Amino acid sequence: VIPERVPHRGQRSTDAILETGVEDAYRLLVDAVSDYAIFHLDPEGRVASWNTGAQRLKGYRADEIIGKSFEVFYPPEDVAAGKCALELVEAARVGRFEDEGWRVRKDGTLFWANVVISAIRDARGRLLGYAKVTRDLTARKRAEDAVRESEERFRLLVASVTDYAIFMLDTEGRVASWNAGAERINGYTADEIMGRPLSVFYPPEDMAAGKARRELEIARETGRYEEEGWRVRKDGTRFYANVVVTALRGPKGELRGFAKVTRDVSERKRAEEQAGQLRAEREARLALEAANAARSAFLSMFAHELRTPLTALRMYVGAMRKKNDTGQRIEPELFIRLDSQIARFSKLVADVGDSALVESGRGLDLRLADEDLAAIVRESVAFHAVSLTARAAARHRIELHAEARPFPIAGDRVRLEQVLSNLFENAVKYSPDGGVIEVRVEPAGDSSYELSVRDPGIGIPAEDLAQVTDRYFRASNVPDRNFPGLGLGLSISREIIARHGGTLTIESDLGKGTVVRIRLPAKKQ
Amino acid sequence: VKRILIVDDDPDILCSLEAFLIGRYDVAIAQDGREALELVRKGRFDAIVLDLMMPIMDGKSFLAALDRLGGRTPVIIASAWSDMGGPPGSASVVGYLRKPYDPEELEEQIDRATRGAAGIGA
Repeated sequence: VIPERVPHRGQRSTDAILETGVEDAYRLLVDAVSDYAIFHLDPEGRVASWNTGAQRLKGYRADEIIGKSFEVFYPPEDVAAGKCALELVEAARVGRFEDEGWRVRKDGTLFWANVVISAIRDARGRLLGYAKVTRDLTARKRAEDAVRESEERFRLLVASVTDYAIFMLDTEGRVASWNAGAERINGYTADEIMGRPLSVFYPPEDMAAGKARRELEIARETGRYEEEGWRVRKDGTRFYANVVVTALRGPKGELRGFAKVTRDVSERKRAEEQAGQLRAEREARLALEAANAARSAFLSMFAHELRTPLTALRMYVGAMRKKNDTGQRIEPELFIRLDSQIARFSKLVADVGDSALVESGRGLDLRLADEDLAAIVRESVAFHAVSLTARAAARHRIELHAEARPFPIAGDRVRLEQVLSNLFENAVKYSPDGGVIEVRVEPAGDSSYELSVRDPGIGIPAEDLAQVTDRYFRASNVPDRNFPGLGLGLSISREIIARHGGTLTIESDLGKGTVVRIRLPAKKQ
Repeated sequence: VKRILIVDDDPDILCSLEAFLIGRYDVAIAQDGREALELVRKGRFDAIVLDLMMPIMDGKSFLAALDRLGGRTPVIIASAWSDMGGPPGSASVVGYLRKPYDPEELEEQIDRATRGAAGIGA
């Protein structure tokens, strides 16, 4: 294809041969360029020359297009709008016209073109025509459009999200963008909030404490900050928010601002609180039911326990009446036994009374006096030894080990005897026949004494040890029906010892025995 | 004189029943089922007053063992529990007493039981 040359002889030098050579070189160069359409238009806009690039770009061969108006390269609406004529006028006026826009190929398809039209004038300024250079920028245009569309889609997406407040903060923490979710959750319109500091969303106390600034600092340092906490809407109401702040950095790592995503999780928070409340209520109800069950088991046990001395009392009274009716002498022994049953009955009533006193919070009254702990224990052991042998089937022995010297304490003798009586009764009750119960009184450190009662009994399961001094509690290896009891003795004993400023602890080896240790402060001499 | 066996784990109950019944009956005592069973094996009783809840061998186990011995000693159940732990389901049981029972009611039941036993025996 040989492009036609625009005749501009006025520009020719006198050296025609050389001139012609240079011109030919230019012509060949232009002709060979295939990435650019480079061609001439005559002053009326008709195609006057055509290169390889022009043919490749627009699809016309030189013989098809030379002499035709360049309007064929424009979409019909541009032609109708007079765009082609205007471009030439403009190029003629200022010498050059540049444009980007859609152009039409021979086959009717469109391409995005960068077009430069330059006016060509002779030495006297007469318009000889135009040089037109066209590049196909469709691919770049498509890529740009794609980026723009993607950005637009993303912007729309963020803007239209209503469940999340998604917005940007500048490096100073001022609101730089705002979406529908932010408006819905925080209550501000974009106009009202743009440029305002992050701290406006915080309750006054957090605002005063500089919480917003701290959050941004953490995000700046670690890249991210997340928390759940209370935030304030425009109308002053509070909501519980899940907040994620992310630092935005440029390619060189420079801080560009922050993205903040906020969710209103007040509903979830409320639901959790309600669930927690329900759980607490259920636990309270279960505890109450357990307490009621324990109370009712206690009452039934109390009734059972009262029946035994009552039965014995009725028998002794019956025996006395019979003797009286038949004129026999009533032995003093019967009165003693009658008395002991009344004492047993009274002890049950006293225990329940003491327990109620402790439960009410008033506590047990002590009448402290100077006492000798060893003497109290000795007398108690002697009394129980007698009462054990007095019983029809005495099978236990109590052994006392104590130095023959005083162990002075400030104590309530009656209450301490009550404790010893409880411990001896337990030791006997839960030990096999023939068991030896060891009682020791010894110094424990400089300022206290230890009293221990060791039995060779069934022991207490390890998991019950912590509760065994609780009121009503009875170890799981003592079924009520085989070992009736109120579950009060140890709890009252512990209370009495605590009132003396001492401690009561229990060690046990299941199946082998139990040791109850009592520490009481020594009275200073 | 009729021979009565009293079985109860509480020494005070044993003492008091013995004090009330002595003179009219020949009274033996046992503190649990196993001890009672040994006494039953050794000698004959006209009636047994039996507590149900005892350690070592309780009343129900004792009744079962008694039935296995094949004896026909009448048994009066005397328990402090309201529900008595259900009927022991033994043919030997002829009466129930709930603590604190009336001493005269105890005597009546023993008399009735020993008369019946005598009847069967005769």
